[in-house]
Amino acid sequence: MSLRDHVRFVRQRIAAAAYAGEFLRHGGIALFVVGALVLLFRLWLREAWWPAFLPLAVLPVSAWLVARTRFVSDATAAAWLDAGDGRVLTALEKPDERWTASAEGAPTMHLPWKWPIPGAAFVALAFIVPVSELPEGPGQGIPDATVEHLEDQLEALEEVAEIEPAQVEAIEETIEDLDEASEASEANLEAVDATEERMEQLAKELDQAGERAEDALGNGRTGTDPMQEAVEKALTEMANAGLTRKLPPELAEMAAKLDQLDGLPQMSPEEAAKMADALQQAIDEGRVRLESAQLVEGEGTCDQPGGQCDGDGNALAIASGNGEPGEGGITRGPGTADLEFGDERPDHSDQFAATVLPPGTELDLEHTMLLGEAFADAEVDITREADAAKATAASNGADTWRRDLAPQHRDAVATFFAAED
Amino acid sequence: MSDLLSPDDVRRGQSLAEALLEGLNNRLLGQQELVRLTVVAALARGHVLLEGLPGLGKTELVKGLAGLLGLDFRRVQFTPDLLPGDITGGQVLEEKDGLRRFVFHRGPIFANVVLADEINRASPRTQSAMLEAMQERSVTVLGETHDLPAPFWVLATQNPIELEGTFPLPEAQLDRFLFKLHVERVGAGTLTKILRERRGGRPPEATAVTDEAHLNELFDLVDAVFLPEAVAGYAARLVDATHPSSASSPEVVRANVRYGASPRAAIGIAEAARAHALLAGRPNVGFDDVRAVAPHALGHRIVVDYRGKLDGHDGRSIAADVLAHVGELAEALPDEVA
Repeated sequence: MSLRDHVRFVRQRIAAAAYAGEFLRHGGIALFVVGALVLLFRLWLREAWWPAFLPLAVLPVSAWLVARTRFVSDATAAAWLDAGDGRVLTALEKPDERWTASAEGAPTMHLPWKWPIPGAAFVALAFIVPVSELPEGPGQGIPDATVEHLEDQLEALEEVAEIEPAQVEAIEETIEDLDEASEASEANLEAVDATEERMEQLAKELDQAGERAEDALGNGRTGTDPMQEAVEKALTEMANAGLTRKLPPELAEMAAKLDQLDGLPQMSPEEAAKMADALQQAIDEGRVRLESAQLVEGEGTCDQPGGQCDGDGNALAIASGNGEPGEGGITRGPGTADLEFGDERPDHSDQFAATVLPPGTELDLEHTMLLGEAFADAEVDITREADAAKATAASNGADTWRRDLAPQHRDAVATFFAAED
Repeated sequence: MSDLLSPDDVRRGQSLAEALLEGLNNRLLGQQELVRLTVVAALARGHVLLEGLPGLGKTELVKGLAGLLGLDFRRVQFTPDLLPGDITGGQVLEEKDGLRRFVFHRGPIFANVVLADEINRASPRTQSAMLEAMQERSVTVLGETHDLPAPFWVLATQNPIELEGTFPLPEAQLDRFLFKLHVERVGAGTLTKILRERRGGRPPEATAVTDEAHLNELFDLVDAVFLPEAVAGYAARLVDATHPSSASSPEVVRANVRYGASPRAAIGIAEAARAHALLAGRPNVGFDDVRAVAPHALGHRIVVDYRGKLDGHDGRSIAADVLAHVGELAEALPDEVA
């Protein structure tokens, strides 16, 4: 091998050592990334964990990018080969057969083999650690609670009223699809809202029908209408809305045949009142069930003062702090005691008692007289004047030496005077 | 075939230098390293400042060098009342054939080898008379420039004690010395040899081992020694690292040095390394040559600040630290390579 080839070989070996070292170092770090990705993939993608190893693909490139900054030139490789007498360097720069130079040896590599071991162990642990016991994370479809809530609402509707089978079937199909959905996508969430609104609309219609029946029954109780007529009118409203599931069987049967009958059979006032109570009970039970399924808002859920659960009621509650001690509010403080403004306490009044000031006096110039006039030199305190002059005069430096020099200033003074040494 | 020195040329130069070396070693016993560096400085045509206690042979070394080279030698004892004219010479009014005219009388500096003994005892004014002579190898008196004989060396001595009444050499003058060599005491074995072989301490007569022609040939050979780029870079990095503002300087330099070595130091290292390589029988300079001469060329050129002095640092110790800190390779090897 010629000298130049040997130098090239040494240079390549140094480059290889730098590259291998960086590869192992980067690999050590990349394996930790791979381990973390394996864990994440096993949690969310279950079996599809193999993409976690993709970061290893960039390892050769990243190692090369860093290692290339540590590659050395031919001159450095030659200097490494030179034994100190300069023969190798001279032979490369000025080849001369009269002077021969030979080079032996190659740099020994010390590669950081231990670097990837912790990362590899972490990857192995990432496969071993059981992830099935980990709690399910978000993004796994529509939550079960939401689906159960929709099912409860549908069940409440079916308990309270006769719903068209096609409509029930459509809602059930939607709920089933949502239950099987693999992700809580925007479309699925929209479907949840739409289904809920649809059932709330049905519940609202039932509630309105119940209110109309209640109004009719109220007219009967107040004597506005005959009870017989009021009961018939209420039953008709309930039958038209399908609000018959909570009725006693005989009344439900009567409601179903109401179209065929020409009105209800003649009843005594007691019988009519009893029937009105049964209808009212069915309406109440239906409303309670719908309220429990959160399909309608009942008065029972309102705990605002005055029973106002609308915006005005909420504003009133906020402003008054619910009237509870310590809860504050906008118009009153958090304390329990009311603020009262009255007379000052007696002790304070004494402290600030008014005092009458004496009248002002003026010089009586008319009754003054001139006793005499004299001239004298101004008296000057020489000592004090000298002190004043000293305070304003420029320092000649002597004072510096008389002062105590703080330790932290000694370096600065020493540096200043050292320049003249 | 390149323009490298031939093996015959190198052998011839080496034998001449070794004869000089042998002659000086015979004259000054037990000071091989000092003698070798003095010869290196002589081949590099550099001035030398010798520092050491009295009686260690500084003056004998210089006298021996002049005698072995067969050159004109003058000694000037520097004293506080010495004047520049006492060194350079001056115009003297002479009458000849009834005419009076000024004639330049050469001072003792007009010699090939000048021993400036106890140079730090002269006033700065007198010391400065040496500046032009040492750098330009000429003397200017009353506007008239006189060339000094070639070759021309100044070998000055000073002792590190009895500093009362002395004047430290200014940095500009120190910079003109290629080496500052410290003359150490010799051991008991050498002293015994001196006692047995040197009656009254008188050294043997110095017989010239060369003449002017051979000396000039030797200088030409030194000049022809090749300096590889990597080695030149190493010398340059060494000098650069003596500056506290340099990024490559070690911490001890940044903390204790006020001024680093001048470019003249780098030039001096290169010249001395060439001479050192020829003495070793090589046509080229190597890292070893630079390492051998650099401490002596850098030490006296590094100006240590007052903190460094208080901490016990001097130019020599700082130069040693710089050599330990600066690597021969311009680029750092990867950690994976030993």
